[in-house]
Amino acid sequence: MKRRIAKRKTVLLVVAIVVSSLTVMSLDVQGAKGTTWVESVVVSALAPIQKAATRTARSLEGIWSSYIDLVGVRAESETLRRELRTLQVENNRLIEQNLKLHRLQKLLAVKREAPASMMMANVVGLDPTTWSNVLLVDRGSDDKVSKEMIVVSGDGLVGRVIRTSPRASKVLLLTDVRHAVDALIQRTRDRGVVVGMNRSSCLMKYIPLEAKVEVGDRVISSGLGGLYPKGLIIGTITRVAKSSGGLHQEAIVRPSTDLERIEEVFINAKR
Amino acid sequence: MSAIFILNLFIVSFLFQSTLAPYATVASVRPDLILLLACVAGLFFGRRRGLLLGALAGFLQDSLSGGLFGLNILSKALVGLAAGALQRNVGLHHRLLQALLVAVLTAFDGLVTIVLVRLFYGGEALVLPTVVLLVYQTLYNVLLAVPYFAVLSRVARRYLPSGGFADIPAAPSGLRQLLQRTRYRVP
Repeated sequence: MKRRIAKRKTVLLVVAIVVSSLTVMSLDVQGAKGTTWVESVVVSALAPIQKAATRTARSLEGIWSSYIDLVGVRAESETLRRELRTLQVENNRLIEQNLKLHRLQKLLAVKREAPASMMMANVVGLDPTTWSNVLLVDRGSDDKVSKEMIVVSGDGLVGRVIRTSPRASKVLLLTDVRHAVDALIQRTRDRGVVVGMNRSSCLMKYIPLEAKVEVGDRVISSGLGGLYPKGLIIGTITRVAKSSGGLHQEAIVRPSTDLERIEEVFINAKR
Repeated sequence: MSAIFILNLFIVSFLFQSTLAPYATVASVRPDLILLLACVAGLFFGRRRGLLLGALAGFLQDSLSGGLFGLNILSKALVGLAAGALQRNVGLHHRLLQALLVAVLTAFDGLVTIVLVRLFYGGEALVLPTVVLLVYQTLYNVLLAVPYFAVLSRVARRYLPSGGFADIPAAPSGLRQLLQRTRYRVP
Protein backbone atom coordinates (compact mmCIF):
# COMPACT_ATOMS: atom_id res chain seq x y z
CA MET A 1 0.00 0.00 0.00
CA LYS A 2 2.78 2.38 1.08
CA ARG A 3 4.72 1.51 -2.04
CA ARG A 4 1.73 2.21 -4.24
CA ILE A 5 1.21 5.62 -2.63
CA ALA A 6 4.90 6.45 -3.07
CA LYS A 7 4.73 5.37 -6.72
CA ARG A 8 1.66 7.54 -7.28
CA LYS A 9 3.43 10.51 -5.68
CA THR A 10 6.36 10.07 -8.07
CA VAL A 11 4.02 9.83 -11.07
CA LEU A 12 2.18 12.97 -9.94
CA LEU A 13 5.49 14.80 -9.53
CA VAL A 14 6.59 13.77 -13.02
CA VAL A 15 3.28 14.95 -14.51
CA ALA A 16 3.50 18.26 -12.59
CA ILE A 17 7.07 18.91 -13.77
CA VAL A 18 6.28 17.99 -17.39
CA VAL A 19 3.16 20.18 -17.50
CA SER A 20 4.75 23.17 -15.74
CA SER A 21 7.94 23.10 -17.79
CA LEU A 22 6.00 22.84 -21.08
CA THR A 23 3.84 25.79 -19.97
CA VAL A 24 6.93 27.87 -19.12
CA MET A 25 8.47 26.98 -22.50
CA SER A 26 5.30 28.06 -24.34
CA LEU A 27 5.25 31.36 -22.45
CA ASP A 28 8.95 31.86 -23.18
CA VAL A 29 8.48 31.33 -26.92
CA GLN A 30 5.45 33.64 -27.03
CA GLY A 31 7.49 36.24 -25.20
CA ALA A 32 4.91 36.40 -22.41
CA LYS A 33 7.33 35.15 -19.80
CA GLY A 34 9.27 38.03 -18.33
CA THR A 35 12.55 37.56 -16.51
CA THR A 36 11.80 35.68 -13.28
CA TRP A 37 13.18 37.10 -10.05
CA VAL A 38 15.23 33.92 -9.58
CA GLU A 39 16.70 34.42 -13.05
CA SER A 40 17.51 38.04 -12.19
CA VAL A 41 19.11 37.03 -8.88
CA VAL A 42 21.11 34.19 -10.46
CA VAL A 43 22.30 36.37 -13.35
CA SER A 44 23.10 39.36 -11.11
CA ALA A 45 24.91 37.19 -8.55
CA LEU A 46 26.91 35.28 -11.12
CA ALA A 47 27.71 38.19 -13.46
CA PRO A 48 30.62 39.52 -11.32
CA ILE A 49 31.96 35.98 -10.81
CA GLN A 50 31.68 35.29 -14.53
CA LYS A 51 33.37 38.62 -15.25
CA ALA A 52 36.27 37.72 -12.94
CA ALA A 53 36.50 34.22 -14.40
CA THR A 54 36.41 35.58 -17.94
CA ARG A 55 39.22 38.02 -17.16
CA THR A 56 41.29 35.34 -15.39
CA ALA A 57 40.77 32.82 -18.18
CA ARG A 58 41.77 35.37 -20.82
CA SER A 59 44.87 36.39 -18.89
CA LEU A 60 45.78 32.74 -18.38
CA GLU A 61 45.32 32.17 -22.10
CA GLY A 62 47.82 34.96 -22.73
CA ILE A 63 50.28 33.72 -20.11
CA TRP A 64 49.93 30.14 -21.37
CA SER A 65 50.75 31.12 -24.95
CA SER A 66 53.67 33.16 -23.65
CA TYR A 67 54.84 30.12 -21.71
CA ILE A 68 54.61 27.88 -24.78
CA ASP A 69 56.90 30.32 -26.58
CA LEU A 70 59.39 29.84 -23.81
CA VAL A 71 59.60 26.04 -24.04
CA GLY A 72 62.07 26.17 -26.94
CA VAL A 73 64.63 28.15 -24.99
CA ARG A 74 64.96 25.76 -22.07
CA ALA A 75 68.67 25.38 -22.69
CA GLU A 76 69.30 29.05 -22.08
CA SER A 77 70.48 30.21 -18.70
CA GLU A 78 68.06 30.55 -15.78
CA THR A 79 68.78 34.24 -15.44
CA LEU A 80 67.96 34.88 -19.05
CA ARG A 81 64.80 32.87 -18.73
CA ARG A 82 63.67 34.81 -15.67
CA GLU A 83 64.37 38.06 -17.39
CA LEU A 84 62.53 36.86 -20.45
CA ARG A 85 59.51 35.85 -18.37
CA THR A 86 59.36 39.25 -16.77
CA LEU A 87 59.54 40.82 -20.19
CA GLN A 88 56.90 38.43 -21.46
CA VAL A 89 54.50 39.38 -18.70
CA GLU A 90 55.17 43.04 -19.36
CA ASN A 91 54.87 42.45 -23.09
CA ASN A 92 51.65 40.54 -22.57
CA ARG A 93 50.26 43.44 -20.59
CA LEU A 94 51.22 45.87 -23.34
CA ILE A 95 49.81 43.61 -26.04
CA GLU A 96 46.55 43.40 -24.11
CA GLN A 97 46.46 47.20 -23.82
CA ASN A 98 47.27 47.57 -27.48
CA LEU A 99 44.58 45.09 -28.49
CA LYS A 100 42.07 46.83 -26.28
CA LEU A 101 42.99 50.17 -27.83
CA HIS A 102 42.60 48.65 -31.29
CA ARG A 103 39.18 47.23 -30.39
CA LEU A 104 38.03 50.49 -28.84
CA GLN A 105 39.21 52.43 -31.89
CA LYS A 106 37.17 50.09 -34.06
CA LEU A 107 34.13 50.51 -31.83
CA LEU A 108 34.63 54.27 -31.87
CA ALA A 109 34.57 54.20 -35.64
CA VAL A 110 31.28 52.30 -35.52
CA LYS A 111 29.91 54.73 -32.97
CA ARG A 112 30.83 57.71 -35.16
CA GLU A 113 28.91 56.23 -38.08
CA ALA A 114 26.06 54.90 -35.98
CA PRO A 115 23.23 56.84 -34.39
CA ALA A 116 23.88 58.34 -30.97
CA SER A 117 21.56 55.79 -29.43
CA MET A 118 24.26 53.10 -29.32
CA MET A 119 25.75 52.11 -25.99
CA MET A 120 28.85 50.08 -25.31
CA ALA A 121 28.71 46.94 -23.15
CA ASN A 122 31.35 44.57 -21.88
CA VAL A 123 30.96 40.83 -22.37
CA VAL A 124 31.02 39.28 -18.90
CA GLY A 125 30.11 35.68 -19.63
CA LEU A 126 29.42 33.06 -22.24
CA ASP A 127 26.57 30.57 -22.31
CA PRO A 128 27.40 27.55 -20.14
CA THR A 129 25.58 25.02 -22.31
CA THR A 130 26.18 23.47 -25.71
CA TRP A 131 22.60 23.91 -26.83
CA SER A 132 22.42 27.68 -26.93
CA ASN A 133 24.87 30.38 -27.99
CA VAL A 134 24.32 33.38 -25.78
CA LEU A 135 26.49 36.15 -24.34
CA LEU A 136 26.00 37.87 -21.02
CA VAL A 137 26.73 41.62 -21.13
CA ASP A 138 27.01 44.10 -18.28
CA ARG A 139 24.17 46.42 -19.39
CA GLY A 140 20.61 45.76 -18.34
CA SER A 141 17.20 47.31 -17.91
CA ASP A 142 18.74 49.96 -15.62
CA ASP A 143 20.58 51.20 -18.73
CA LYS A 144 17.33 51.05 -20.73
CA VAL A 145 18.30 47.89 -22.55
CA SER A 146 15.25 45.94 -23.65
CA LYS A 147 14.37 42.81 -25.59
CA GLU A 148 14.96 42.69 -29.36
CA MET A 149 17.60 45.43 -29.35
CA ILE A 150 20.30 44.65 -31.87
CA VAL A 151 23.90 44.03 -30.85
CA VAL A 152 26.90 44.74 -33.09
CA SER A 153 30.67 44.87 -32.78
CA GLY A 154 33.34 46.74 -34.71
CA ASP A 155 33.40 43.81 -37.17
CA GLY A 156 29.69 43.38 -37.76
CA LEU A 157 26.50 41.80 -36.48
CA VAL A 158 26.59 39.93 -33.17
CA GLY A 159 22.93 39.18 -32.39
CA ARG A 160 19.98 40.55 -30.43
CA VAL A 161 18.99 40.97 -26.80
CA ILE A 162 16.63 38.25 -25.62
CA ARG A 163 16.46 38.81 -21.85
CA THR A 164 17.30 41.61 -19.50
CA SER A 165 17.79 41.92 -15.77
CA PRO A 166 18.61 45.22 -14.03
CA ARG A 167 22.36 45.06 -14.56
CA ALA A 168 22.91 42.41 -17.21
CA SER A 169 21.39 41.18 -20.44
CA LYS A 170 21.51 38.02 -22.49
CA VAL A 171 22.35 38.36 -26.17
CA LEU A 172 21.31 35.65 -28.62
CA LEU A 173 24.23 35.19 -31.00
CA LEU A 174 23.76 34.76 -34.71
CA THR A 175 25.31 31.29 -34.40
CA ASP A 176 22.46 30.10 -32.17
CA VAL A 177 20.08 27.64 -33.79
CA ARG A 178 17.11 29.91 -32.91
CA HIS A 179 18.57 32.90 -34.73
CA ALA A 180 17.70 33.75 -38.33
CA VAL A 181 18.41 36.89 -40.33
CA ASP A 182 17.42 37.79 -43.88
CA ALA A 183 20.65 38.38 -45.78
CA LEU A 184 22.18 39.52 -49.05
CA ILE A 185 25.36 38.41 -50.76
CA GLN A 186 27.05 41.78 -51.19
CA ARG A 187 28.65 41.13 -54.61
CA THR A 188 25.79 39.36 -56.42
CA ARG A 189 22.86 40.87 -54.44
CA ASP A 190 21.30 37.40 -54.09
CA ARG A 191 19.15 36.89 -51.03
CA GLY A 192 18.97 34.12 -48.47
CA VAL A 193 18.43 33.46 -44.80
CA VAL A 194 21.37 33.05 -42.43
CA VAL A 195 20.56 30.66 -39.61
CA GLY A 196 22.67 29.53 -36.66
CA MET A 197 23.82 25.94 -36.18
CA ASN A 198 25.09 26.11 -32.57
CA ARG A 199 28.57 25.86 -34.09
CA SER A 200 31.12 28.56 -34.82
CA SER A 201 29.69 29.05 -38.34
CA CYS A 202 26.21 29.77 -39.71
CA LEU A 203 24.28 28.39 -42.68
CA MET A 204 22.92 30.61 -45.44
CA LYS A 205 19.82 28.93 -46.87
CA TYR A 206 17.53 29.55 -49.84
CA ILE A 207 20.16 31.09 -52.17
CA PRO A 208 18.76 30.86 -55.73
CA LEU A 209 20.27 28.06 -57.84
CA GLU A 210 21.34 30.47 -60.58
CA ALA A 211 23.28 32.69 -58.14
CA LYS A 212 27.02 32.67 -58.81
CA VAL A 213 28.19 32.49 -55.25
CA GLU A 214 31.88 32.19 -54.52
CA VAL A 215 33.94 31.40 -51.46
CA GLY A 216 35.02 34.67 -49.89
CA ASP A 217 31.82 36.56 -50.79
CA ARG A 218 30.68 38.90 -48.06
CA VAL A 219 27.19 38.48 -46.57
CA ILE A 220 25.27 41.46 -45.21
CA SER A 221 21.83 41.93 -43.65
CA SER A 222 19.14 42.73 -46.21
CA GLY A 223 17.02 44.94 -43.97
CA LEU A 224 13.98 42.71 -44.53
CA GLY A 225 12.38 41.14 -41.51
CA GLY A 226 12.11 44.40 -39.63
CA LEU A 227 14.65 43.83 -36.89
CA TYR A 228 18.08 44.35 -38.41
CA PRO A 229 18.90 47.38 -40.56
CA LYS A 230 20.27 46.87 -44.07
CA GLY A 231 24.02 46.60 -44.59
CA LEU A 232 25.27 45.08 -41.35
CA ILE A 233 28.16 42.74 -42.11
CA ILE A 234 27.26 39.17 -41.10
CA GLY A 235 30.27 37.24 -42.37
CA THR A 236 32.09 35.61 -45.25
CA ILE A 237 31.15 32.53 -47.25
CA THR A 238 33.55 29.65 -46.69
CA ARG A 239 31.74 26.82 -48.53
CA VAL A 240 28.93 26.54 -51.09
CA ALA A 241 26.72 23.49 -51.70
CA LYS A 242 23.35 22.59 -53.21
CA SER A 243 20.58 22.07 -50.67
CA SER A 244 19.45 18.49 -50.01
CA GLY A 245 16.27 19.04 -52.08
CA GLY A 246 18.29 20.62 -54.90
CA LEU A 247 15.99 23.67 -55.22
CA HIS A 248 18.39 26.15 -53.67
CA GLN A 249 22.03 26.60 -52.82
CA GLU A 250 23.34 26.67 -49.29
CA ALA A 251 26.52 28.26 -48.00
CA ILE A 252 28.50 28.10 -44.81
CA VAL A 253 29.10 31.61 -43.47
CA ARG A 254 31.89 32.41 -41.04
CA PRO A 255 30.75 35.33 -38.85
CA SER A 256 32.85 38.46 -39.29
CA THR A 257 33.02 38.83 -35.50
CA ASP A 258 34.95 36.24 -33.52
CA LEU A 259 32.03 35.42 -31.23
CA GLU A 260 34.04 33.20 -28.92
CA ARG A 261 36.58 35.91 -28.15
CA ILE A 262 34.45 39.03 -28.29
CA GLU A 263 34.98 41.39 -25.34
CA GLU A 264 33.04 44.57 -26.11
CA VAL A 265 29.83 45.12 -28.06
CA PHE A 266 27.44 47.91 -28.99
CA ILE A 267 23.77 47.70 -28.13
CA ASN A 268 21.48 49.72 -30.32
CA ALA A 269 19.30 51.52 -27.81
CA LYS A 270 16.73 52.63 -30.34
CA ARG A 271 14.79 50.08 -32.36
CA MET B 1 25.13 15.55 5.94
CA SER B 2 23.34 14.66 2.71
CA ALA B 3 21.98 18.21 2.44
CA ILE B 4 25.46 19.72 2.90
CA PHE B 5 26.86 17.26 0.37
CA ILE B 6 24.28 18.10 -2.27
CA LEU B 7 24.49 21.85 -1.56
CA ASN B 8 28.26 21.80 -2.02
CA LEU B 9 27.86 19.75 -5.17
CA PHE B 10 25.36 22.28 -6.52
CA ILE B 11 27.66 25.23 -5.74
CA VAL B 12 30.76 23.63 -7.26
CA SER B 13 28.89 22.38 -10.33
CA PHE B 14 27.25 25.73 -11.02
CA LEU B 15 30.41 27.74 -10.45
CA PHE B 16 32.29 25.48 -12.84
CA GLN B 17 29.51 25.40 -15.41
CA SER B 18 28.98 29.16 -15.44
CA THR B 19 32.60 30.26 -15.36
CA LEU B 20 34.98 27.64 -16.72
CA ALA B 21 32.82 25.42 -18.96
CA PRO B 22 32.76 27.96 -21.84
CA TYR B 23 36.58 27.84 -21.85
CA ALA B 24 36.58 24.03 -21.98
CA THR B 25 34.76 24.10 -25.33
CA VAL B 26 35.91 21.44 -27.78
CA ALA B 27 34.35 21.31 -31.27
CA SER B 28 31.59 23.72 -30.15
CA VAL B 29 30.71 21.40 -27.24
CA ARG B 30 30.85 22.31 -23.56
CA PRO B 31 31.03 19.83 -20.71
CA ASP B 32 27.65 19.40 -19.00
CA LEU B 33 28.33 19.11 -15.28
CA ILE B 34 24.69 19.81 -14.53
CA LEU B 35 23.70 16.62 -16.32
CA LEU B 36 26.26 14.71 -14.24
CA LEU B 37 24.83 16.40 -11.14
CA ALA B 38 21.32 15.21 -12.05
CA CYS B 39 22.72 11.68 -12.58
CA VAL B 40 24.39 11.76 -9.17
CA ALA B 41 21.18 13.02 -7.55
CA GLY B 42 19.32 10.02 -8.94
CA LEU B 43 22.06 7.49 -8.19
CA PHE B 44 22.72 8.68 -4.64
CA PHE B 45 19.30 9.80 -3.47
CA GLY B 46 16.80 7.71 -5.42
CA ARG B 47 14.13 8.38 -8.01
CA ARG B 48 11.98 11.03 -6.38
CA ARG B 49 14.82 13.14 -5.02
CA GLY B 50 16.64 12.65 -8.30
CA LEU B 51 13.60 14.04 -10.09
CA LEU B 52 13.28 17.06 -7.79
CA LEU B 53 16.99 17.84 -7.58
CA GLY B 54 17.28 17.38 -11.36
CA ALA B 55 14.40 19.84 -11.87
CA LEU B 56 16.05 22.33 -9.50
CA ALA B 57 19.41 21.98 -11.28
CA GLY B 58 17.64 22.42 -14.63
CA PHE B 59 15.86 25.52 -13.37
CA LEU B 60 19.13 27.10 -12.27
CA GLN B 61 20.76 26.10 -15.56
CA ASP B 62 17.89 27.68 -17.48
CA SER B 63 18.33 30.86 -15.43
CA LEU B 64 22.00 30.99 -16.38
CA SER B 65 21.74 30.00 -19.99
CA GLY B 66 19.90 31.81 -22.74
CA GLY B 67 18.19 28.73 -24.10
CA LEU B 68 14.51 27.90 -24.16
CA PHE B 69 13.39 28.46 -20.57
CA GLY B 70 11.98 25.28 -19.03
CA LEU B 71 13.83 22.91 -21.34
CA ASN B 72 16.47 21.97 -18.80
CA ILE B 73 13.90 21.76 -15.98
CA LEU B 74 12.19 19.00 -17.92
CA SER B 75 15.23 17.21 -19.29
CA LYS B 76 17.31 17.26 -16.10
CA ALA B 77 14.32 16.17 -13.98
CA LEU B 78 13.84 13.19 -16.28
CA VAL B 79 17.58 12.47 -16.18
CA GLY B 80 17.48 12.43 -12.35
CA LEU B 81 14.42 10.19 -12.37
CA ALA B 82 15.92 7.78 -14.90
CA ALA B 83 19.21 7.56 -13.00
CA GLY B 84 17.33 6.84 -9.76
CA ALA B 85 15.14 4.23 -11.42
CA LEU B 86 18.10 2.47 -13.01
CA GLN B 87 20.05 2.51 -9.78
CA ARG B 88 17.05 1.03 -7.99
CA ASN B 89 16.54 -1.74 -10.49
CA VAL B 90 20.01 -2.53 -11.72
CA GLY B 91 22.58 -1.03 -9.40
CA LEU B 92 25.21 1.11 -11.06
CA HIS B 93 28.32 0.80 -8.93
CA HIS B 94 30.65 -0.15 -11.75
CA ARG B 95 32.44 2.70 -13.52
CA LEU B 96 31.63 1.21 -16.91
CA LEU B 97 27.92 1.14 -16.14
CA GLN B 98 28.08 4.71 -14.84
CA ALA B 99 29.77 5.83 -18.05
CA LEU B 100 27.13 3.97 -20.05
CA LEU B 101 24.41 5.63 -17.99
CA VAL B 102 25.91 9.06 -18.71
CA ALA B 103 26.11 8.25 -22.43
CA VAL B 104 22.47 7.14 -22.57
CA LEU B 105 21.20 10.06 -20.49
CA THR B 106 23.25 12.64 -22.44
CA ALA B 107 21.76 11.29 -25.65
CA PHE B 108 18.31 11.41 -24.05
CA ASP B 109 18.88 14.98 -22.79
CA GLY B 110 20.04 16.05 -26.26
CA LEU B 111 17.11 14.37 -27.98
CA VAL B 112 14.66 16.13 -25.65
CA THR B 113 16.43 19.40 -26.57
CA ILE B 114 16.31 18.72 -30.31
CA VAL B 115 12.64 17.72 -30.22
CA LEU B 116 11.55 20.66 -28.06
CA VAL B 117 13.58 23.28 -29.96
CA ARG B 118 12.15 21.88 -33.20
CA LEU B 119 8.66 21.90 -31.69
CA PHE B 120 8.83 25.45 -30.38
CA TYR B 121 10.96 27.10 -33.07
CA GLY B 122 9.87 25.12 -36.12
CA GLY B 123 11.73 24.60 -39.37
CA GLU B 124 14.71 26.90 -38.85
CA ALA B 125 16.09 24.64 -36.11
CA LEU B 126 18.55 22.44 -37.98
CA VAL B 127 18.46 18.77 -37.10
CA LEU B 128 21.63 17.35 -38.64
CA PRO B 129 24.18 19.76 -37.09
CA THR B 130 22.40 19.31 -33.77
CA VAL B 131 22.66 15.53 -34.01
CA VAL B 132 26.40 15.84 -34.73
CA LEU B 133 26.69 18.09 -31.67
CA LEU B 134 24.82 15.47 -29.66
CA VAL B 135 27.35 12.79 -30.57
CA TYR B 136 30.25 15.07 -29.54
CA GLN B 137 28.43 16.03 -26.34
CA THR B 138 27.90 12.37 -25.44
CA LEU B 139 31.58 11.56 -25.98
CA TYR B 140 32.69 14.58 -23.97
CA ASN B 141 30.37 13.82 -21.05
CA VAL B 142 31.41 10.17 -20.95
CA LEU B 143 35.10 11.14 -20.84
CA LEU B 144 34.31 13.55 -18.03
CA ALA B 145 32.09 11.07 -16.17
CA VAL B 146 34.85 8.56 -15.46
CA PRO B 147 37.04 10.80 -13.24
CA TYR B 148 33.95 12.64 -11.96
CA PHE B 149 32.32 9.52 -10.56
CA ALA B 150 35.63 8.21 -9.26
CA VAL B 151 36.19 11.36 -7.20
CA LEU B 152 32.58 11.73 -6.14
CA SER B 153 32.20 8.11 -5.01
CA ARG B 154 35.19 8.58 -2.71
CA VAL B 155 33.82 11.78 -1.26
CA ALA B 156 30.36 10.24 -0.86
CA ARG B 157 31.76 7.13 0.87
CA ARG B 158 33.35 9.39 3.40
CA TYR B 159 30.62 11.94 4.00
CA LEU B 160 27.29 10.32 3.17
CA PRO B 161 25.66 8.00 5.76
CA SER B 162 24.53 5.65 2.97
CA GLY B 163 28.07 5.56 1.60
CA GLY B 164 26.88 7.07 -1.64
CA PHE B 165 24.54 5.04 -3.75
CA ALA B 166 20.83 4.70 -3.03
CA ASP B 167 19.64 1.32 -1.78
CA ILE B 168 19.04 -1.47 -4.19
CA PRO B 169 15.89 -3.48 -3.38
CA ALA B 170 16.27 -6.98 -1.94
CA ALA B 171 14.59 -8.67 -4.87
CA PRO B 172 16.98 -8.38 -7.79
CA SER B 173 15.62 -7.50 -11.19
CA GLY B 174 16.20 -9.55 -14.30
CA LEU B 175 19.16 -7.46 -15.42
CA ARG B 176 20.74 -7.64 -11.97
CA GLN B 177 20.40 -11.43 -12.00
CA LEU B 178 21.94 -11.50 -15.44
CA LEU B 179 24.86 -9.40 -14.23
CA GLN B 180 25.31 -11.75 -11.26
CA ARG B 181 25.25 -14.74 -13.56
CA THR B 182 27.96 -13.20 -15.70
CA ARG B 183 30.04 -12.86 -12.52
CA TYR B 184 29.72 -9.13 -12.55
CA ARG B 185 30.38 -7.90 -9.02
CA VAL B 186 27.13 -6.51 -7.64
CA PRO B 187 27.43 -5.19 -4.11
